[in-house]
Order: sequence, then C-alpha cells, then structure tokens
Amino acid sequence: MKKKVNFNINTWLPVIIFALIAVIFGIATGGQLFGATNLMNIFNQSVSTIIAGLGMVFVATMGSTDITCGAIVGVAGTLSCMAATNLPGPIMIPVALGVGLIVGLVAGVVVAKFKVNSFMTTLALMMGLRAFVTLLLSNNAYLIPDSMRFIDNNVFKVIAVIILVAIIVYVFHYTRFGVYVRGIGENENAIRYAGVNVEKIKIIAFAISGLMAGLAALFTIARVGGTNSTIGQGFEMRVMMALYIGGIPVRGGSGSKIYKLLFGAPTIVMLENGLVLCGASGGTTQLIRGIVLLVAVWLSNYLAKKFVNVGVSAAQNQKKAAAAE
Amino acid sequence: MADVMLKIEGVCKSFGPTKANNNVNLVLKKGSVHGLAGENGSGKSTLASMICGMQMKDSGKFFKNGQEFDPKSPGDAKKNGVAMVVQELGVVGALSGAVNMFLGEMDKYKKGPLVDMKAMEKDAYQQFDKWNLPHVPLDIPAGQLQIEQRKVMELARALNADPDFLVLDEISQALSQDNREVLYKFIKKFTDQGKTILMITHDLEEMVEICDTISVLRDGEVIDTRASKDYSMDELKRLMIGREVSGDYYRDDQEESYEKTVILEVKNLTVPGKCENVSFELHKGEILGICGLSDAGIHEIGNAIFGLEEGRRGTVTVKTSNTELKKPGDMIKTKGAYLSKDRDAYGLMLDTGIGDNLIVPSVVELSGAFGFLNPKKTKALAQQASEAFEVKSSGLNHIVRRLSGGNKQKVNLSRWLVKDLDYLILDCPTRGVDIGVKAYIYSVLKKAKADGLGIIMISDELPEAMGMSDRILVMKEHKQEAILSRTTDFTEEKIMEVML
Amino acid sequence: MSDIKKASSTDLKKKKLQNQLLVIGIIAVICVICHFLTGGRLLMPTNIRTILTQWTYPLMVGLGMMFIFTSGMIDLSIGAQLILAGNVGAILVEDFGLGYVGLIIGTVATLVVCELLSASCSTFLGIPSWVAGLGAALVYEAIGTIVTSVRAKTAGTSVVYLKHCRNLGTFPWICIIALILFVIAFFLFNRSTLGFNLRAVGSSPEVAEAMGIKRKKTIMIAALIGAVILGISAITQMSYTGRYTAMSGMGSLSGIFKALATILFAGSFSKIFSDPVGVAVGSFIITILFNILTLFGVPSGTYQEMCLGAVVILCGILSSFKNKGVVK
Repeated sequence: MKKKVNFNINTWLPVIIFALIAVIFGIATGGQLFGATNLMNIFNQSVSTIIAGLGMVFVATMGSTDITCGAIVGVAGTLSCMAATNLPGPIMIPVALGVGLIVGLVAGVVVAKFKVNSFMTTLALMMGLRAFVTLLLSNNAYLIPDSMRFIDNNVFKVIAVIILVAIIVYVFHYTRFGVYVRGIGENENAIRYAGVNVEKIKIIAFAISGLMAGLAALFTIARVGGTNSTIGQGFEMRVMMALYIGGIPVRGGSGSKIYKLLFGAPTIVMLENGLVLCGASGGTTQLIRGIVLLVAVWLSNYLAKKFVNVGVSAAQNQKKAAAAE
Repeated sequence: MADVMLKIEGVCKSFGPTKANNNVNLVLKKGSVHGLAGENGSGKSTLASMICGMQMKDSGKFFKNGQEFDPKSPGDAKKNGVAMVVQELGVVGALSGAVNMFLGEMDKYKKGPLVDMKAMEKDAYQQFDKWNLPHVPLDIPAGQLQIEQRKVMELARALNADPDFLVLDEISQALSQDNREVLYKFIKKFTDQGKTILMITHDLEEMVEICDTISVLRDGEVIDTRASKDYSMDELKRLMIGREVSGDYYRDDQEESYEKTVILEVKNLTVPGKCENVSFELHKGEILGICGLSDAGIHEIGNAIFGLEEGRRGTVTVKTSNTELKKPGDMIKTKGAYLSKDRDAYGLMLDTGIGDNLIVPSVVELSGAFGFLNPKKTKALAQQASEAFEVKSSGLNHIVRRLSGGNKQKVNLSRWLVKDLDYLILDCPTRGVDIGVKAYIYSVLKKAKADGLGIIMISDELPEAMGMSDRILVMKEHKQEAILSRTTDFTEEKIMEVML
Repeated sequence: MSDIKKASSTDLKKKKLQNQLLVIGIIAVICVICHFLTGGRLLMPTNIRTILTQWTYPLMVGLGMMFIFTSGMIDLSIGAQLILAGNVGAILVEDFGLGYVGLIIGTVATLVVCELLSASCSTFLGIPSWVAGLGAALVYEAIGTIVTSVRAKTAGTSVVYLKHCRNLGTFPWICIIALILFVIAFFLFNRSTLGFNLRAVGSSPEVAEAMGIKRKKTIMIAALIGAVILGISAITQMSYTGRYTAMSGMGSLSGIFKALATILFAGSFSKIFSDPVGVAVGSFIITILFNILTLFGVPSGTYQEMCLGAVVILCGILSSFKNKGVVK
C-alpha cells in the first residue's frame, strides 16, 4: 500500500515568508539587517507585538476582530504613568492590566451580548479611547519612573516572553477553552448546541485580548521611556499583520496556531525595520505594509483553497486503498 | 417521435470521487408528469438541477423537442422553455413579491430610468389568475410572507416565462392539504396543454397518485422506468433501496415498554407563536416520538427544551437529579443531549477534521486539573467514537464536509453517545441519510433504549415514528393534541386522524 | 379561489407610515426642547444654515457608502479615498490651474479608480472586504502622504489649500447638490433595475445569481455609482473646508465615522425607512447631535470624539437588536 504524504503548505507558510523577507532585506540592506544591534532591535520591537498578538489571537480565532490594542497601549500607558507620579512605581502594573481588562470586557459584552459586529465595536472604542488619551495628556508627556525601568531589560523580556508564550500555548492548545474558541471560529452554532455558553467564551476571549494589550502597554512605554499622545498609534495594524502574515486565517477556526504568530511578529517588524534601513520614508513604508497585508491575506486564502483539492485527492487515494483491501 | 418532450442520453456527473449521475438515459413524454424516485443521494436532485442549468453535466446530452439543449445557466434554461421550483432557488426576502417575480428581467418594465412597479404587479397577478393560483400579497417584502405563500409565489415566478417543461422539487412538502389540492389541479391543467412536469417528492403515495410515469434512481443510475400504476408501493421502496426492507429495520415488538422511572418532566411548555402547553414525561428506556404536520411546531419543542427559544414559559425538570433546565448548559450537566435537525448548521464544524468534532461534547469530562486536555486522551476518545460507529473515513483528520450525509450523521450521533447519557433529544435523526445508515441508526437507538436511555425522537416521517416509538406525542397547530400508545393506537389512520 | 390568509399589505403599510411620522415627530420635539436648553440658539436661522451645511457631508458620504456596503462589501478605505481624491482635485486647481473642470474630474476620477481597485480586491481576489479595505486604506493614505510631501518641497507646506473654485461648498449650493444627489440615489436604489439587482445580490447572492443577475458586475456598477457620489461629496467638502489633511496610520478612518454611524442607523431603522431615507434621517440626527454638543460648549477632538464612539456603538446595538444570527 502506497502511503501518500500530505504536505500542507499552510503549515510551513509562516516560516517560508519569514525566510523570504529575511533574505530580501538581508540583501537589500547589504547585511545590515543581521547586525547584532539590529537583531536586538528587531527582538525589542517584536516583544510588544508578540504579547498583544498572544491576546488578539483568541479573538481572531473566533473570526472576530479586536483593533483596540493600540488605543489600549495609549490609555493604559498614560494612566499608569500618571498613577506612578504620585504612587509607588509598581502601581503601574495593576493600572495597565486593569485598563486593558476593562476595555476588553466592554468590547466583549457589546459583541457577545448585544451582537454588534466586532470590527465596528472595537473601531468605535478605539476612536473614543484615542480621544481620551488626547484629553488626558493635553500636550503633556509623562515619564516612566526609574523603579520600573527593569521592564526594558533584555533578559527580563526574554524570560517574560517565554513564560507568556508557554501560558498562552497551554490555554490555546491544551484546554477546553481553546477547543471552544477554535470551535466558535468554525461554527458558532455547533458549539452553542453542544451546551456551551458561547457568550461567556466570547467575553473571556476579548478580556484576554484586552489584558494582553495592557501588558504590551507596559513593555512599550518601558522601551520608549514614557508616554505621549501618539503612543501606540498604528500598533493594532502591526499586531493584526503579525497574525495574518503568519497565516492565521482571517475567518478564524482551527487553522489558528500560536507558532504562526511567533513567526509573523518578527516578520512584520523585520519588514518595517528593513525598509527603514533602506531609507524608505514613512509614506513608502506604509504603502508597502498595505500591499504586503493584501498579498498575505490573499495568499493564505488562495493556498487554503488549493489545499482543499490536495486533500480531496488524498482522500480519494485512501478510499481506493481501503477498497482494495 | 413527436410526443417526446425531453430526451436524456448518457448523462454523467461527478463530485470529486462520487458519481452523482452515471449514464442516465430517460425519455419524458409531452403532456405527462414524470416522477423521479430515489433515496437521498441517489442523484435525482442533481439530474434536475442539470436540466435547469444550475449545474453543468460532465458528459452526455439533453434533447428538447428533438433539438440538442445544453443550458449553461437557469436563464439559459428559461429561454428554452424550462422552468423550476427548487429548494436552492428561494426568494430575496428584502424585496417585494412583485420584484422577486421579475428579478433578472426587470428591463421589461423600464419606464425611463425607473421600473414601472404597477405594471409589474398587474402582470404578476395575471400570472396567478391564469393558473388559478391563490393570490399572495406582492407589495410587501417577500421575507414577511409565510413559507407556503412563498412557494406559491415561486411557482408563479417559474410560470412567468411560459415554460413547456417544469421541474418541481419537493414543492408539496411546504404546502397544506388544501393547497396541495390546488397544486394537483394546476398540474393537471398544465399537462393537459401538452406540457411536461418533472416531479421529485419524498411522499411516495403522492408520487404514485400524481405521476404518469416513475423512474427509480439508485446510486446515480436509472434502475427502472414504468407507468406508475404498474408499481406497488413495496416494489417501489425495494427498488429504491436495492434490497428487501428487512423485518428488523424498525422495532419488531408491538408493545409500549419502558421502566417506571421518570427522567424528564415537561410541564406547560409554551413558546409564544411556536408551541403551546406541551406537557409530558419521558421514562427510562422509552422512545417518545413527536409528530405533526410541517409547521405544527414539532421542531420548536426540541429547541425550547434545550433552552434556546426566547420567551419560553413552563418548566422542564430532570427528575434524576431534580434540576430545572433553564439554559443550554443545564442539559449537558444533567447528562442530556440535543441534536438539532440541521446538523450542518447547528451540529458539526464542517471544515475541521472528524476528530475535532468528536471531542467537543466531551472536553468537559476529559479536562483535568487547570482545564488540561491531554492530547492522548482526546485522541483515544475520538478513535473510540469513530470506530464504535464505523465512520467511513481516511482517519481522524478527514474533513467533515467531505463525508457523505450518513457518515456526517454518524459523527454527529457518536460524539454524544460515547458519553454517559440519561436522555437524548433527536430532531429528525435520519434526515438526508441513506438507507444503510438509517438502518444502522435505528439499531443504535434500539440498543440505547435497551440500555435505559430515554429518547425523544422528533420526526417528519410517520413510519419512522411508528416503527421506533413507545408513545407518540402528536402536535397540531402548535398545540399538543394527544399522546398515543404503541400498544393500542399505532395505525397510520389513527395517527393521521389526530394530526389533521 | 380563496387567497392564502390575507396578510393584509395595507395594514403593514399604514403601520410603517405611522412609525415614520413617530420617529420624525420625536426628532422634532427633541429639537424644540434642545432649542430652549441651548438658550434659543439651536433653531436660530444662522445655526439652521450651519446645520444644513454640515448635514450634507455625512449624508452624501452615507449615500455613497450605501451603494458600496449593500452588496456586503464593508470597504473602510473610503476615508482614505476621500482625502486622496480631494487633494488631487485641489492640486489640479491650485498647481495646474485647471479650474472647476480639474476639480470635478480630478476628484471624481481619483475616487472611482480607488474604489474600483478596492472593490476588485474583495470581489475578485476573495479577500474579506474589511481586510481589503484596511490594506487599501494604508495604500491610499500612503499615496496621499507621498504626494503631499513631494509637493511640500516646492510649495513649502504639506497641506494642500484650495483657495479658488470654492463656490460648490457655499450655502445654498452645497445643500442643493446634496438634495439632487439624494433624489437620484433614492430612485436609483429603490426604483431602478440596478437597485433591485443590488439589493438582491446583497441579501441572497445565490438566488440573485440563479435568477440571471450577474453578481460581480452588479457589485462593480454599484461601487462605481457609490464612488461618483463619494467623489462629489469630496468636492463639496474640499470646497467647504478648504483642505483635507493627509493622514497616515489609519487616521483617515475618523473622517468617515459619522457616515459609518449613519449607515448603522439606517440599518437599525430599515423596517421603518427605506435605506436612502434612513441615511438622510440618520445623518441629520448625528449632525444635530454634534451641533448641540458644540452649542453646549463640549470641546471637539476629545469629548466629542468620545461621544461619537459611544454613538457608533449605540447605533450598532440598535441595528443588531433583533439579530439572532451569528455575529463575528
């Protein structure tokens, strides 16, 4: 009996794109991309993206969207810095996480209970929160207290990312919550008729997304050194692109895997970093980001369809084999 | 051959590995009603939709009135005098009935840049009158019409193009008795003009009565074609199935038999506009059938007990643990399960593997400390369920969408039955399932009953309900009409009398 | 022959009319109350003129969006398109001296090209429309910034000011244009073949296709009509305010926020008003709401934006009120 190996291009796509971007910009920047300081730079910039992505992946897997994370970074960063001016430094942690959690819960409740399209909801929240940041700062800037600067320490960041990834991989791939989240992405009604409180799952997923965005806020302001009114602007797009470039399906479902994000985040950071090294202006960088987003989503859609056909012929072979027995 | 309307020669059609139609040859005469009989998946709907231009044939030829006819789209078919009322071709709910009737040919009513609504409505009603069809309001959004009204409108729409060949796929299912009479009169009038109807219906009695000729399809091939009066009902069934309907297909005992223990008690269950004052008790080891005409409210009962109907009144109590069911999660906690009628929309995750589908109901029991799901355990469970129910597939990663209807239902059923259940609510468990799997499901239910499971079986098919149930609860116009016993009341006449 | 249960269509129509009058009545009453709360300023002739003028932009953008969104294509690059098109038109006037011809043709043509590109991304490449919209928005924003920054090297400023040809943005012309557009959009949407086909494609694409409607063609034609309406609204807005600041990082989304709220509002009242009327009523409510906020002295940029966010969520909740289906 001939055994047909079912090579799934989707599994390897994030790695391929990662390598491709690395090679292209490695050559374009004349190797500068792989300089030690620059590699460190790429890692540094990836940290917040990975952390926020670890939260957003739950929402994206349900086929929903959460674009509040940039605004959460703004609000959580600003409020926590403001709190730390009068209170001891560590107060920043509960404040930032609390802000993220609350925003996530609000989004989750509006989406799950009132059944409003998640993109509209989070878009509206994002607008409101951005205005709130402007209101809070009114042209001031706050600095992060020295006692909290340890967050920007590289060793600390590596450890933090490893721990967070481990926790999320566990929750996402090895708990029933993860099964439900992926199930909702596949067929929400099937999960509902299995007796699961879908609304609760949705709210929790959005809450996790908000919480992780709050955490990302701490890492972001620690790296920048403080907060101003533009902090976190465009962050939501970067996180979304990290997910989609990594091949996490836009429509959600069981194609979502954490490792895809872990490749997607450095890929998008490398892309932006490489463009800057090549001397591209802000406009050009954004132009290329937009095109890359479109191509990445189109490609993963297209390959998913292709793969279905591969699957059919594989299934057919197996059927023939079974009949021959 | 002047009296031949449509000749089908060697038509083949495959979907991936399955042959939906294999070398089909048929001759449909002018002025006749030609019925297509066959089990689900026998290829009759595929054949019809190819004639209508909704699907392309792989090979073979159609000849209409002696000329070759190869429709590329429904519009193409329409131009050649072929019209259809099929399930895939519903109405656009947001648009008015009149617009729906002339959708796609609106240019006829162009008055300057706009569309002349009045003229359109007038023409539409003329169409109704021409064929003596009951009027339906055409100036409100079609979505606000009842299913029956919509079906009549679809029929009128099909007649717009003045076809001489009409395909009717399962139209009578949605109609009440008096409107079926209207339909039969229409069919007579239509064929009296020398036009032809191709009819597909699951109601074999209706088919024998209405059709002049019947062709039986099995596995995509025409097995037999005869004048309908030459068929006996049993023969027709036997030909469709391809073997004798064995005696132990349904239950062979004639007694109402179950234990005294009450598992589930439903009291005054009411969902406004859907069902009223439904009260019954389900016992250990009992199969309770729920029957009624379409729209009598039988399918809503399952949803209401499960807790997904809004505005539900009355109580549902699980007697074994004395808990009241209020929300969907409660049923799972009290060792119950509910399988909705539409398994593709409400049961399965079609685009994932069998394994992922099989574990969903059991993850609560499988998860350990901190909600940990051991991949080995989940895989073992999926393997066990898939093997116990003989799901034909290439493995646990086989995508559910690519399974046949019967195997999908096996997956759907097995994932619940591997659990330790006390009661089970099934809504049309054998819908869209071929005969072999049907028999298999009945045997599984018989075994489950013997093991003491209480089963509520909501069914569209009276023979099935009669064949399997201990008692049948009959619904009529959303109200509970009677509960009949297997021992004394199970004759078709008796049950029909209560239903109508 | 008896009719099937006379679901009396006259009753339904009467009820609809009653509801319409009720909604309009409530709006009128609230306006009068607010008139007194603002110390008689709300309904002063000058303020009414301001309201009417400001009403035109969300109204016209809403109408344009309606043609694009009805087919199920939630294209969010519209904000970036408006900015880019407005700037192209202004550059043609200011730097090339092409006058009204340049303004109108430049703006409308840019918008049509952009919108057809966005629409193609989701229609032909199968990218979910909102992702396609985001990607396209990034691209158009970037082109806008690149164009204006290149121009800044010679002109000295990156903001393109429209100094000539601004009559289309003055009262009453701007209102007359909006009114004409509304009437055209109303009949096109409610009474024309394209309108029926578009709505059929939007609510049940399979049925529409089986009835011989060409889905992709209909979507593209509707997008074209929507783009022309959007182009005209970009012209009037450019003429009214004198500039469209190029934005980056999805900032352009904020420009279409009021129109988005309007569309959601129209969706929530679709049982009472047909879509074009719903857009008109919705955009009026939103315009007057922000006018009242301004009269009360609520600062824009902060509190007003937060209000807008809340209004969008509220409109979203209203429009999904009876939705029992699956929402992503």
